[in-house]
Amino acid sequence: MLTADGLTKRYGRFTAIEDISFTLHAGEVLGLVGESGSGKSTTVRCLVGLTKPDAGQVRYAGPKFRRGVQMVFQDPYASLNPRMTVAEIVGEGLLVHGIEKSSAGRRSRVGGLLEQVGLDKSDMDRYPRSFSGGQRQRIAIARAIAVEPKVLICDEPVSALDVSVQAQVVNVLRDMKLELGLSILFIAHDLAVVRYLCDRLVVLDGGRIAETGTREQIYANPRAPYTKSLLAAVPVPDPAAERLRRSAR
Amino acid sequence: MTSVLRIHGLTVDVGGLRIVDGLDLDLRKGERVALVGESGSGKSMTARALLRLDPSVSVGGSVLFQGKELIGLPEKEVRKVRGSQIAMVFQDPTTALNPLQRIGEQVAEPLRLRGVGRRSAMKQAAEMLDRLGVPRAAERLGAYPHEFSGGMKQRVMLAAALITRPKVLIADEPTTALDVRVQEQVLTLIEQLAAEEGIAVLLITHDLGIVAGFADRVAVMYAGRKVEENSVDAFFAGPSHPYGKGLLASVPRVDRALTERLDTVPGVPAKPSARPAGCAFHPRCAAAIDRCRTDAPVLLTIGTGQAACHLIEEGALRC
Amino acid sequence: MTTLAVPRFLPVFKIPLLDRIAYPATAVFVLIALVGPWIAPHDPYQVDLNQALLAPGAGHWLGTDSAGRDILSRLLAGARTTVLSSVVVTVGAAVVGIVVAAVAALGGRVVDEVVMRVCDIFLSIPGMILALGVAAALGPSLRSTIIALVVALWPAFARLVRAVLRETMASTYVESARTLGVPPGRLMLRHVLPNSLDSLYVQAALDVSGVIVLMSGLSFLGVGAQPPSADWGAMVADGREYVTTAWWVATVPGLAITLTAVVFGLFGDALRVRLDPTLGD
Repeated sequence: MLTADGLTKRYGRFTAIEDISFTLHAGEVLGLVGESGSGKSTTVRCLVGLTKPDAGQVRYAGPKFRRGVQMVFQDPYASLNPRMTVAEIVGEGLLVHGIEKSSAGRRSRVGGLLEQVGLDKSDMDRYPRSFSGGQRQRIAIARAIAVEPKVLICDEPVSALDVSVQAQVVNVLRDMKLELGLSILFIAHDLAVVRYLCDRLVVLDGGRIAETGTREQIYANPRAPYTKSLLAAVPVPDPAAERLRRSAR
Repeated sequence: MTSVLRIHGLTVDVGGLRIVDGLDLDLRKGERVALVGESGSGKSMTARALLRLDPSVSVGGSVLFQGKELIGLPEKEVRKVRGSQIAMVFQDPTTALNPLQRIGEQVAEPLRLRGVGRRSAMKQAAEMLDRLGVPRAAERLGAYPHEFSGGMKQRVMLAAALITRPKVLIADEPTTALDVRVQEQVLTLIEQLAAEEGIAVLLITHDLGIVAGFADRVAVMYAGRKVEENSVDAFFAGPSHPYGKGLLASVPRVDRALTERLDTVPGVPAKPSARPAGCAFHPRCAAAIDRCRTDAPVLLTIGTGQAACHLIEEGALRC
Repeated sequence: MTTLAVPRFLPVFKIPLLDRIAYPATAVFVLIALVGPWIAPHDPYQVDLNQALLAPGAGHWLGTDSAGRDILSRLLAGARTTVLSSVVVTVGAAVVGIVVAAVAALGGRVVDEVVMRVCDIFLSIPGMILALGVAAALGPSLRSTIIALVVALWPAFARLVRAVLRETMASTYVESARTLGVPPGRLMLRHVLPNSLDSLYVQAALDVSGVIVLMSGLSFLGVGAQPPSADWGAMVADGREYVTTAWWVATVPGLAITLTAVVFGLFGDALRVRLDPTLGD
């Protein structure tokens, strides 16, 4: 569906990403993982056209890139226009892409979308400030899926949320993938969340791809030393296991 | 074991809102206690209130530090305790360090404020940075914060906090801004130093994963109240309170087989401005009974710990 | 939020007090400006040399000028010219500034660079000199003064607005609108401008007070509203010959200018406190 081909971006002498190539296949969830500074954000910005790469290109197998590729941002407190109501936010894509021209039609569609992501129809005339982080992220998801995209790019969509709410949003994304047949590029640093959601992984280290593989292969049998060390550091909510792991080093 | 820090009935009010409502917590010498909660739980306000960092916030109840009452103490007296006896590190090392001041000065400052000579303070700063694993510490005293990575900055923060050999370290989400590998290193360093110096650590966090590896005891806060407290082993073997259970169940983990869906706690964390009546957790609790909606539960002793839940009292909940 | 290098007008005022004074006072001044000519006790243009240079007293509360006209009536009549044209100037300069800044923000690097250098050129000339030059070139009249001040003042607005727009353009909700496919015009009108203009309202309110002083200055120098129209600046100019013998002729309109400037300044501050969460409670 979406292919990154040799993406390279430099800022002055600093190389943010170099020769990043991968393909997001139809119907799969691809995890893009790495630590801060690994180049995840730059890669995403190049993919959605917010940053122009110095070399390489992005290919999208479908018409109308702007409609077909949608994005959910990390910080739901920053990604919603504070002066628009939920109905306007979620309905905007329907309007600008000419999907639903009548205002009443948009409202009824928005109501359906809100219910799809687990919000209430009656929420649509409220402003973002009256929603919690998790609810805002649901609004952002509703906005993205409103235009019936083929690809959803999620940039750390749950890392700013409370633990008990993270799981809710992860479940919503999983449902969306199953119900809508979306291809999802899921950017994250939390390998436990990624394991839950992703079919395949691309591991970034210092702006380059360290390893690519299926979920089963990477979690059971990581090849790159970098992936191994990342996996070894994932904390587990089990005191006995943690003690064992620490004494092992 | 004697308590270094004994918090009893702590209340924190901000702008007429009760953010922390009657918290009891004991910190014994050399013990590592985790205070766990989500947004609006009051965990961070608790930490700040202990050190009286916000003058506009009204703090009530009792905080005994080595038997001495801190609440109601004049600011001048609090300042003597803060930093030297009770130290604190914050979540974001980037904003907590002064970008225009050299690392050495910042680490040595708490000592300098207490009249230690410059040369001796600098020497101790270098030693402390060295113990915290900052490479070539003595040479880098003259460096500025921007020359350090996030993990290194957090070590600098820790060095400045620990250089006065405090009895208590309050660490508010100290590793949340760090990558997992660095997070583990920093926690291990805190653990080692605390053990060597007999420092009691209060770790404020939302991350149950790091609690399991770090703490001896865990207290869970919800909407300004402690709903559960136990040893880590007992807590992670099975929380008593429905909120603790839900919280633990919703953590995705790499050590378990994959399930179809993640377990969740429905709804959103209660806000202090709209605290539900009775048990604040009842709107999110699947097992809530009528009593939960009207009466606030009190903490009951259960095994090695405590929990505040009517269902436990009624025997309706398996612990 | 945006960082504006605007000094607080009267930092000693506490916020509620500021609110309580600023809003009613501004309302009163605007009201006077609107109904002034109708509540004037005398005809502001009635020349009566027998009544010239009367000191403030029972018949003429604020005295009369050298032509025997009632100063209070002339103040009330002039309030409309002074206050309303200052508001017109400020709104005009703000609108030009917003349009220019929006074009610069959407137009890409080259357009932005050109627009900003043009602003720099304007800003390098002191506002009063520029306005004086333009007003003189257009011929002395109230209309020329208004045009001249708009010409002199828009670059400062354009600069301010551009800085704010750039910040808003970089916000995540604008980026998310871009990834949604929102076209540039709508992006600017629906997402960027509504979230950028708070600081502009404040700047505009504060500017009205400056514009009142500038306008009066231009009239005083003779390029503004022409005699016999009752303009405050022109009234000060008229009275300057008599400052030693009949102090009220120049002083009363001078005080009116000062007071109006202060009131609008307070209004700007009150507005800022209300709109800027970092200054509020």
